[in-house]
Parts: sequence; structure tokens; C-alpha cells
Amino acid sequence: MSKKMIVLKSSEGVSFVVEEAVARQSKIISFLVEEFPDRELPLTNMTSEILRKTIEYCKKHVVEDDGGGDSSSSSSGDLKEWDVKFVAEIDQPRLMDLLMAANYLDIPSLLDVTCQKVADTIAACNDEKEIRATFNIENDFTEEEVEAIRMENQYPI
Amino acid sequence: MAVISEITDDDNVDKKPHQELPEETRITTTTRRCSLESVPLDVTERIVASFSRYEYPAIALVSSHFRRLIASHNFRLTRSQLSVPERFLYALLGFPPHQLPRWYILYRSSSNASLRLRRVDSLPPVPYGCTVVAVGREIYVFGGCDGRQRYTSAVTLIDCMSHTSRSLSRMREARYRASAGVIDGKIFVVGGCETPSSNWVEAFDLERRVWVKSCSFVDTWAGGHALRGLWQASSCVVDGMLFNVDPGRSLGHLIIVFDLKKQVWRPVKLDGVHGLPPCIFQYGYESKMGNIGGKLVILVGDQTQWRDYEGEKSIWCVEIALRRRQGGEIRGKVESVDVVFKTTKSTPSIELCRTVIV
Repeated sequence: MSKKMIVLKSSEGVSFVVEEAVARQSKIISFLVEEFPDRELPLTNMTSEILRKTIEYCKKHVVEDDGGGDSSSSSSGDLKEWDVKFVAEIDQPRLMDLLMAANYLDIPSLLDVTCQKVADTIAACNDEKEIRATFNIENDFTEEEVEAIRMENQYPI
Repeated sequence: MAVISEITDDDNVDKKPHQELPEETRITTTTRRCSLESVPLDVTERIVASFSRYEYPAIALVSSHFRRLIASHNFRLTRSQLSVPERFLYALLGFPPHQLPRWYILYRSSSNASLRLRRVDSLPPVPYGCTVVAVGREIYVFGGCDGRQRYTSAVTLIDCMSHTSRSLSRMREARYRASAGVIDGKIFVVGGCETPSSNWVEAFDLERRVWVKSCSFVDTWAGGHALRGLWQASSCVVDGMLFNVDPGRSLGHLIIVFDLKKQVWRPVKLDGVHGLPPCIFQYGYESKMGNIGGKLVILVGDQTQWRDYEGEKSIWCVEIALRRRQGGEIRGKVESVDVVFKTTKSTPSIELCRTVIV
């Protein structure tokens, strides 16, 4: 139990104690840990809920150095399955927050799975109206503009 | 007050600190809805780049944010780094005698729609009888005959990613219906000039984009006679094998392939022949064949361009998947038959088609 722990603090001021190896999957945290050892790291733009989700992901994906056969060293097939379930359980607004967190903290694999989930959600939409509704996007085109875009985009761009 | 909470595998434990938070803090975090537009641009680019180009027109309709993104130079860069290149068939359709050939792309507007030929309005017309070579995402157009019956030595480069074109330095000779191919990073343009000269063959260096010294003569290939027997312009190469349409069915089949080792043409037996449009046998000599990712694609009109007919004229597209059986026999399977173009104006002539990788 001599694993080094670090403390991450959410925007609400809630502190999370995390194994360093888990948190270091974030390139930003990895950098900060080296610059400021033994300091609590404030993540002011992440809610506790999203930080908790991010840590849950990192715990699952941490690679143990000692190769001990514990639950963290899952096979890549199991991990993929776990990832699919992980993002499937998140609702749309929180998925976007998680994607932003993955981008901000620079966790490439989490960014991959969240981007893929967003892409899948877009692909499942029937038309542009559904994409707008799903992702909270305002239609800022006039009827004439829509017609012009349809005309100019008759072939793959 | 900071609350220390150790995350455990048990999800229930860390819910407690949440309830101790001041009410207003929680409200601000739960009511906020993050729009896809507020995601950093490089992340959005990544998401959109994972789509097929077929889907971009639909995504561009979402909002001006997405329209700008798809049209941006940066997005093209991201796309070329991230996405798997896709193959598109570009066809030149002419409408003789008044209109010069224009570029069309064969594509599906969505994954379950049928194939269509759509004109690329941003690309200018090209001369009749020009010689066309596609290299990756670029198309080179050499020579041809302008609207005033003059041969030209002009060379145009088309970028199929941006659908823009520009002129390159001219050939020494003006050429009409020349042949061309790529060997060792050079395009060799052969023949088609009015008087055979020392410039009968010209070579264009693809990397440096300049004309370079070329050989002054070409050896006749020993296998030329057998090859010429059934060869005609509706042909293409798939996996190093030359396929041809043979509407006369000299070997009993519509598609034939040249056996390089034995120097003979062989028939390609087709599954699904009954679904083929009759025009492929009637006007097969005016058809054009292409290769999209290892599949044969044949474009054929249902009217000959030499006849005046004022009704509707169509272009059909036949997709044929190929497989090699044990013993080397090649079989084909008709995968789709679609009308991809209709017009009531002058009968289109299918000049040629080329595969572009973007």
C-alpha cells in the first residue's frame, strides 16, 4: 500500500484522492505532478461529477508496472467492451462535458472514446434537424442559405 | 470546506460529499448544457473527419459553424491525417457537338441511396480527346482538341480535394487522343501528335512538376498482337490485370481479362448477368470501365451518341465484384445496376473515367 497518492480538487471544491499512476494518464496532471509535487491540484473547470467519471475511466485504464494480475490489467478486448458500456451510460450533456474534460486534461484514449461516441450519435441522426436538437445547436441559416448549400454540396466535398 | 473523498470501486461511497455542497453550486453545474459548437475546433474537426465525405454535405447543413469548419483549410489537413482515404470515380461526360466535356463524380448521397453522377460545377470543361491521368487526389489533363478544331499542348492540374484547377507548363507537342501512363514517378505521354517527331514521347516528373528528358522511341511490346485482338477503349486495370468489356462476346462473356503469362484473353464468368441492362451489349463499345477499390464499374449510355433522339437518355452504372478462384480463374458478380444520370438534351458521350483517392 505504498502507492503514491495525489489530490485533485473539482470546481465545487471537492477533493479526490487518487493513485498517482491513475492520474498520470492525463498528460496535464503528469506535468503538474512533476512541477508541483505534494500539492493539491485544483481543476476549477471540472465538476465533481465529471471528475469522478474521468477518474473512473483512468482507474480502469491504468497499466500496472508490476504486472500483477489484478483487475486493472484487463485484456484489450475487455477494455473496449468496458469503454463502450462506459460511454453508453452517459447522457448527452455529460458526454460533452466528459469530452471537454478529456481534451482539457489531455487523456488521449478517453478523448478517442468520447469523440467516437459523439460521431456515432451524429451518425444515428436522420437529418441536420435531429443533429441540432441532439447537440443543442442553433440553426443560424436562412431558407435561401440552406438552398444554396444544398446546391453547392451536391457532390462529396 | 474541502471534503476528502477517496474514490473506491464502490460507486456509492463518493456520493456523500455531493450532498454537502451549497445548493447554488450544484444548480449551476447541472443546468448548463454544453453545445457541440462550444467544443474546441480541433476536437470537432476530429469528430467530423471520422465521417465519410458522403456525409459532409449533410453535416454542413447543421449550422454555419459546421459549414465553415468543413470548408476550412485546416479541416482538410486534419482529414488527410486522420481519415482513411476514399476512392471516387470521376467521369468526363461530353454533350457533342456543342458542349465540351465536364467532370462528374459517381457517388451515393447517403449510405443507402443509389449511385448518381453529379456534375462538379467548380471545375471548368476540358477539351475533347484530352489525355487524363489520375494520381492520388490529383488529375492531370493533357492536350485535346479545343472548340475550334485545334489541337492543344496545354496541361491542367485538378486538385480533387478542393475541386480547383490550374495550368502547368505545356507539352512540346500539341496532342489529341494521346496515351499516357505513370512509370517511376513520371507520366509518359505518348503519340497523338500531328506528325511523329522527336517529341513523340514526353515525360512529366510528378515530384518536381516539370517536363524532363524522355526516350525518343518506344519498343513495340512482343505481346502486342494478342492483346490488340480484343482490346478496346472500355478497359481498366485491377490488381495488375487488364479487364475489358467485350460486347460482341467473342469468348462467350461480356467481360474478358488478359492473361499476361499465356498472352491470351480469357472470359470472366459473371453471376447475375440477367440483371444487366440491354444497352451494355448494344452500346458496350461506347461504355467506359473503371476500378473503384478492386471492383469493376461500367458506365454505359442507353442511346448511341450518333443518333438524334429527343426523348430521355440515361447512363447506367454496373458494379461488378471480382474474385479469383483456385486455379486462377477470375469470376465476377454483378453487385448493383443503377441509372446514374438522365437527360433530355443532347446524348451524353462518356469520354473516360478515373479513380481519385481523396
